[in-house]
Amino acid sequence: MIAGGRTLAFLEQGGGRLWNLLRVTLAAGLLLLLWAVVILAIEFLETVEIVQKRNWENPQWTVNHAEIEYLEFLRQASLAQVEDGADLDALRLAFDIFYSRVETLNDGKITGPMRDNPGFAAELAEITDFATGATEIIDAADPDLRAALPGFAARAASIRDNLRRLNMITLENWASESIRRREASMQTLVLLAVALAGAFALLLAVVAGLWLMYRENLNRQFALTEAHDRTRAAEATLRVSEARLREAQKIAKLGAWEVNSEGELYWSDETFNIFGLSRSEFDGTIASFFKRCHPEDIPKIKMAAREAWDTQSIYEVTHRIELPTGQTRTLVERAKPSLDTSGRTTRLVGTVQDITEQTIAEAQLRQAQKMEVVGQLTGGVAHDFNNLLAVILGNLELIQERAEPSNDAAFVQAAITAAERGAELTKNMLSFARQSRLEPKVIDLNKVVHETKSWTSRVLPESIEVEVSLLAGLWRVEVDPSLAQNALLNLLLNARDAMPEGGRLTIETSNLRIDQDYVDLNGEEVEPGRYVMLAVSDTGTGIEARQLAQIFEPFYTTKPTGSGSGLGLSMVQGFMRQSGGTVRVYSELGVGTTFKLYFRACSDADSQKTVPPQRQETTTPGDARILLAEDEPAVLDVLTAHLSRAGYSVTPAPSGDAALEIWKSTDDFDLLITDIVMPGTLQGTHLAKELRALRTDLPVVFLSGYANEAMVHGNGLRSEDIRLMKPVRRADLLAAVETALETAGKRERT
Amino acid sequence: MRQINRSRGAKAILQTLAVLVAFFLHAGLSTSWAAELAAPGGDVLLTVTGQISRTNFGDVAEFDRDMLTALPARVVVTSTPWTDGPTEFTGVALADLLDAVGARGSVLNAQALNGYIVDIPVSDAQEAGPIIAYLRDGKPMGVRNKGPLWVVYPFDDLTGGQELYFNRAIWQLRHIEVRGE
Repeated sequence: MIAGGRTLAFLEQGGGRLWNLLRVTLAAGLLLLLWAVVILAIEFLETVEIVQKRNWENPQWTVNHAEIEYLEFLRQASLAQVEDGADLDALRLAFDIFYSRVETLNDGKITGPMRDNPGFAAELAEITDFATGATEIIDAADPDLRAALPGFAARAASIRDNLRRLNMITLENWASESIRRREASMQTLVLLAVALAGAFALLLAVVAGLWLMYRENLNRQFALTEAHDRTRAAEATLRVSEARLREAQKIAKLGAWEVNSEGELYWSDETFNIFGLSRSEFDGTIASFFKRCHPEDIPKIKMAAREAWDTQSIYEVTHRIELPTGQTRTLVERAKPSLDTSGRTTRLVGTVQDITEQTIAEAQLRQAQKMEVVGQLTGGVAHDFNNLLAVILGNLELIQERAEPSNDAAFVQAAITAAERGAELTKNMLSFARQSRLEPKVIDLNKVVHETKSWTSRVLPESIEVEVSLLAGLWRVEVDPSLAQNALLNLLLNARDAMPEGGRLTIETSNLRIDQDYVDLNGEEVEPGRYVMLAVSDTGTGIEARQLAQIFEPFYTTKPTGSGSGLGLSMVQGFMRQSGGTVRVYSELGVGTTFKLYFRACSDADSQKTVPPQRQETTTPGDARILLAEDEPAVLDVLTAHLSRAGYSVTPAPSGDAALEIWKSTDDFDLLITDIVMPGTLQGTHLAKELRALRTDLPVVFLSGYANEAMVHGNGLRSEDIRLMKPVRRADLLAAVETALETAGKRERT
Repeated sequence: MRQINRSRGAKAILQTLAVLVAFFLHAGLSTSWAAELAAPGGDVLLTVTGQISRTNFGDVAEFDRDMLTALPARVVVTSTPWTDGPTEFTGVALADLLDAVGARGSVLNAQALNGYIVDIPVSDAQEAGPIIAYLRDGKPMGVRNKGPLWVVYPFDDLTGGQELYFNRAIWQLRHIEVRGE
């Protein structure tokens, strides 16, 4: 019922056209049925009429009666002939009755159609002739009639065949008409049946069609509803997952982005958040993106993007951006090139994550580790320093006592050497503490070996025989010479310590090619290529295999406490890795140990570079006026003495604030030399800034206990400014002063 | 052998006359046949038997031509299947005849000279019902003209079921037996 009701509702509302079609078809079918009923009724009535007519009005009936009365008349005629005294009235009555039938055949409307039949008319004419003619005889008196009877009876009998034929003709006519009638009826009925069947079929087809269309419509509606529901569910799911993704991105500070070959950028919501921009503040161009990037990082970003785009490799770069609020954030961007079907890069699809906090945390951790190292270093290095100080102190005391005036020079030299070693040690420690940036130069390692050996010979006891095997034509390497020397020194000291009973120490250099197979065999992070090997071998105690893995760890030492820092090999390895090389160690207990340093050889082009010649100490006394700011009084004195003796006019200031005061009273200085870290409100860099605000082209030489890049950057330092690491050798100081003055002078001239 | 075909005008006058005659005859004779059925003087044309209250010969009521004509005459003009065109019939209404014999039955078993028998329901005998015609076109009918008596219904005035009455239109009528159910 519900389905039926729905069907109707559908037909009335939804299937408007169908409904009209159905109505039209129903009307047509109804009309057709009506017509059929009318036709059937007419046909039925006609048939009934004919049947009834045959019963009561048909000519056959009349003809039959005529024949019956004729036969009665014949019988009466025969009877009259047989009995002479018979009553002739019966004959007359029979004749009259027969006559009346003949009359009816002639006059009656009922036989009218038959009379048009020529055969019927001919037969009837003969019968009528007889009947008409017979009246005279019948009406005659009894004797006359009796006399005429034999002939009359014969004549009456002669029309028997006529009557029989009349009957047959009528019968045949009736039969043929009946057949015709039946055939016509049959034809009509067949037509009617066909029409009805057609109407019914049409109706059925339309109803079936309507039903099918309705079902189809219903199915489509169901499908549509279902699809709609599914879509809505999918949309809801999508919304939820999008919200989750957004939330996740927000929590992770992970933004998504895309860039195409036109430089058009797509940013996700979180990307906008990371950059601190609203959608209206960003026009989606690469240029706008770079505007937010830290200027120093732009080349790095561009290069990485270019490489990823061209080589279709993963793009990963960490860079800083500046938020509109002025805050600096650190981001890491990772992207993958998206290729088209032909394999060309069409865009980069990537993520961006704010790792500022992470970076800060990492830096803090590193700092904490450093502090820990420095703490431990203090104890470890104190011994070395004490030794050095003892040497310096002893020598200076010897000079002071004037015990052996002839040996003063030697004492001084020994003191200087010890001081220099102390400086080197400090430098090494600082280098480790700050992961110092190398200052590589193209050098010949043989030369480093020579220099080191010449001054370390005194470090090694005489029980140790030193053998040096240097390869002539050694490839050049690009390393920080002092760190290389330091590394070598470390190895020498280790060798010495490994041979307390004495032995042989071999220093060897050679050229080496490391190919892919070699690298694979050792599974080490060494790129194939040309290397220069520096090997230090001893015939000492050797190192146990299980210790080999640990010897490069910081603070790992086999030496008694207080005799070593445990940093030596660790620093060597760090230095070698920073230089693109590596360290190998081969050891056998009781036989000895070999440390091999592999330095990457320079390409031929690099080899052409020659070490800039050491600047010759100028003898020309300067006459420039120098403002010197240094908080350490001893250092201030030494520096003042050095500069004064070189002919410069020096005004010392014990702090940045004091220097500024001096400047304010008299400002005719050609150069400012300042320590960077000083107590008071003015640090060295700030002092330089202040003074340069008063005189923009003032040359400045900075002195620093340690060079902290982050501290130096962005504090008003200029690229031409010279930074000197303390302790400063006299020669270096004078060279720096001269260079600074010269540069300033040149600038003045141009 | 065909009947003389008269003009319509003459027929109409004759019809009117016949009606008038019938009226006067009825008025004059109403008392006499109501009391007793007279005996026939001439040839008996019709005998009535069965459930009747008035007879003139034992259980039979016999009628000759005069007795019939003495009864109220009625004219019926109609066509029949057995005649050519409309024909004027004059006779006594069947209802009047049944009144004359005091019939009480419901079916009339009518018999013809040749033995033809047909049942006529008494219900047919109404005012405008059949007559027992003795004149056709104003002339007495012989046996040769389906006479002398012919039960004629006003076929042309009947609507529907004509065929049924054709069957009951017995000619050369000789006898009627009045029967009950």
